[in-house]
Amino acid sequence: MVQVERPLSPHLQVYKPQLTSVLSILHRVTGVALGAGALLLAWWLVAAAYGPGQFETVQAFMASWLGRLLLFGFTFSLFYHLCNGIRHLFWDAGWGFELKTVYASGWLVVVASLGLTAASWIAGYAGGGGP
Amino acid sequence: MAGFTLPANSKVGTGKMTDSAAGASRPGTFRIYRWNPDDGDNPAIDTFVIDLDRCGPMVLDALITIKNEIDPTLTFRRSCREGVCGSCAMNIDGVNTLACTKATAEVKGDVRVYPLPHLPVIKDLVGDMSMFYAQYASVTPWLRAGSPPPEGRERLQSREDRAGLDGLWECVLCACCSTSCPSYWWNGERYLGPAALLQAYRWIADSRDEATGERLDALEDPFRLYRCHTIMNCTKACPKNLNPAKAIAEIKKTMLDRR
Amino acid sequence: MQSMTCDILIIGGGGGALYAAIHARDAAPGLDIVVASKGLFGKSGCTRMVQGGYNAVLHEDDSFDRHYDDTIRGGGLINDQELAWTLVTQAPERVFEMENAFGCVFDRDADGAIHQRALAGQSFNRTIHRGDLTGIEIVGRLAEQVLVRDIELLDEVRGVDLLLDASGRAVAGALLLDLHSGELIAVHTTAVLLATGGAAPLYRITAASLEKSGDGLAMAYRAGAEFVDMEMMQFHPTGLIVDGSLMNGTVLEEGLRGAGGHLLNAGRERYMARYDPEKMERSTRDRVSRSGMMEVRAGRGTASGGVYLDVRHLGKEFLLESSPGMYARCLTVGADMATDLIEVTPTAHFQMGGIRIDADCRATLEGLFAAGEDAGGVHGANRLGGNGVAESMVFGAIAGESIARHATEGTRASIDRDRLDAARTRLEGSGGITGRPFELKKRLRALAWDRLGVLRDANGLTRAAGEIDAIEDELGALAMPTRRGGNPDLQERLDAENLIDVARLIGAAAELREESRGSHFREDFPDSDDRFLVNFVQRRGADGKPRTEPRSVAFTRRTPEALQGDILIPA
Repeated sequence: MVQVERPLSPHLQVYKPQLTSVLSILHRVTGVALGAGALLLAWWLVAAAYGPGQFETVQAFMASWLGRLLLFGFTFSLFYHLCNGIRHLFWDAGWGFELKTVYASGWLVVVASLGLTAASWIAGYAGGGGP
Repeated sequence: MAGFTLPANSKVGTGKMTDSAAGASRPGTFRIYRWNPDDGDNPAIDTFVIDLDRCGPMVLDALITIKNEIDPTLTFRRSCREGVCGSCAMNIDGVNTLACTKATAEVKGDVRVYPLPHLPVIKDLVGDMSMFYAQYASVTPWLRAGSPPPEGRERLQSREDRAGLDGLWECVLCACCSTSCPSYWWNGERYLGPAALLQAYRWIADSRDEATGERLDALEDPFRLYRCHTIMNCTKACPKNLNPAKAIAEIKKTMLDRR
Repeated sequence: MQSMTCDILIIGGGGGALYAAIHARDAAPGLDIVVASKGLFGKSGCTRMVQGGYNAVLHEDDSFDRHYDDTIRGGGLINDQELAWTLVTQAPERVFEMENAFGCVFDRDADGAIHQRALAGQSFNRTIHRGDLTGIEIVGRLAEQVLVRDIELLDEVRGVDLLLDASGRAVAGALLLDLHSGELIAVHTTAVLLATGGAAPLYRITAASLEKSGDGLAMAYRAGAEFVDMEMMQFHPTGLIVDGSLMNGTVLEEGLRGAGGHLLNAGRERYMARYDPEKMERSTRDRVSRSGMMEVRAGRGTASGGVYLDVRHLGKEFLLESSPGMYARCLTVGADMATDLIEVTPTAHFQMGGIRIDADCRATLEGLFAAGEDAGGVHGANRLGGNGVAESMVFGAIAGESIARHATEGTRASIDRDRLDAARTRLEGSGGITGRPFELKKRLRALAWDRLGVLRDANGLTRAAGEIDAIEDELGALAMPTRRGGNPDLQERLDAENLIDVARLIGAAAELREESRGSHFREDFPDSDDRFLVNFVQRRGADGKPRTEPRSVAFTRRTPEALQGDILIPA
């Protein structure tokens, strides 16, 4: 009998995305995004320390549509990671493992992080008319 | 490093199509993963259309009908056909479950049937479970008690302590949970996975067991236990409605408590 | 073909096989032990499907004598009295071993001791259980004990034939087939234990697991071992009816009737009043099964040929508490026990008959042992609920110890080349027609259900013999599937061949037993007859057909007179 190398059965390719895994992956993604956002923040601070010219360039970039998109993503990542982090804290304490609760808390995290993101942008625009 | 894509020999092609439901009022389409070690080809998806009115209600009924009436070489595991043995675990409609208790009618559209994810395939829907069993054995899933039992009778256990094992002892080791876990897919050689950890906790939780310390020591490792990221796919997949994620959390908590 | 040498080969993967492996290993640490199981490790066989529980005398008000009398009465007085005594007296030791050494935990009483309840036909609450899914707990723990020991496991490998020495009287090994690679494996061994779990799937409607096909029985038959009580096949009265489904025939446990469930015919009438007005639904399994079949035959059955189990009055809370597994199972097929009538049918459940063994589980061939459902004699004409898993544990342990003794003291006979070649040739087949063995197996199962089933008569049994011959001829004319690995078609063929042998044994013994006793009911001889206080012993004749002869029961512990009177059923 010829020994053939056995194939690996499909995994990510076939497994249905479901709230459980999607939120988990989103937690990772927003974690990475926060890292990138921190660089953005550092760039802004460094520019401020350098002088008005540099600071103006950064400010202009932040006000551009791309800058705003990045900032929006950063804000959402911040709130999502925070909210889902709180969910993880509950889990670490052994709470909230029933499937119903998992789904309820999952949706709550989604709604809360979207809500907080929207609220902070509205507040930002109302207070300062944009960055 | 995590492999998100399938290796070259595992890419899935398109196979043959057999329609044996001509004139049927309720045709059902099954897209089934096939791989035959003898022909050297890559895996492929075969399509079978059968008459659901001439077939029992479960996906396993359909697989048996296809094997009996269309393709006698279709290979899958089955034994008890009542959700007790865990042999017929597979990925149906994108989710791991037991084919014998999954109703075809619950699936919308075509029924896609794959082996349990991220396992070496032996043939068709049959995956190699040897690593899964080895991990199960590694948690020493048996009673470890040094003190002798009472003479000529059982060790007493209160109803409350006995009830503490509910939700743990019912596991049928079908591997639906472990093979639904992305963390297990990518760290399966070092992370024990939800099934083995649920079994580990079954003994940690048993009031008669006296080896809790050793059991926890054996799990105190960055991979074996802590690769659980509470994704919760395991709990979602369990066909017996058990909660491996909670069992894993209880182990982590017990770890903290003893520090 | 691969070759392999070991001291002990155990064929089977259920409770009996696992228990034997554990005890053989502990009794003889130096021996090579191999366990070949047709399914996945720990998932094969029927022990894990046990719902009701395990009978053992644990309570001080109960006694071995009471359990024994229940067992012999239940068995229609033709049990092997020594084997039955062994069952009763060793059952408690095995419970304590499972609890204390293996870590099983059964349901508890308020004082922390093991809880016991009663199944039908028992004079005391002596059934130990784990909810209604006792088998999961038992087989799970046994599998772990096998894992921790140095035992070689061949998963998804089936037995094909026993291999004898040149004398034809001693077993020298076995020919196995790896279901996935298709490789044949000739195992040269000192002793073989058959624990493959009988042949209940011979019947169209069965409760047993799907991979069983009388492999052990047929292997022993072809090798020339003796059989006993083969006409005795238990039909469980409440198999779930799910038309067209493989779920058809799975058992709804006896506890539901014990707890006060009713059986109704299509006219919603509690028909047991006609057959056993005193005990009604709590009557013994054989009588309840028969009554259901008679209702159906009289035209009072449901459209799918069954009757109704009605447990609605017991209330959802009680049902969820006492039978969560059964409740869930009914829900899977769309019926809520708390609000719906459940359609049920008798279902082939347990084979009392089997390979004739002595007190050490030795069969009549040197080096051959049998345990569990493959062995016969313990239960006589009918098995009490809760005695089946007890038998597997008790005799699994005995078989393990005695096979270890045999392998330590005995010598390995050499495999006769001619016989090995004959076994391989059999796998090549001689027919040339293309066809589906599955179709023939299906026909065989339907004929067994109709003629060798719950209700039998001379006419049907004679016709069955001819029909079995015809199926065998047709099967022989089919070309043997050439691809051995990963080919369910070949498995169907081998299954059908084995079931044909078993069907012949059952038919021949049933024909000679011109009376009704226990699970064996002859419509042309509906009463019991003392002339048949015998066991039919069978072996293969030169023409391949069974030779059957009666042998008187040895009443070593109880005479029939001493057991007059009916079984007491606790309220």
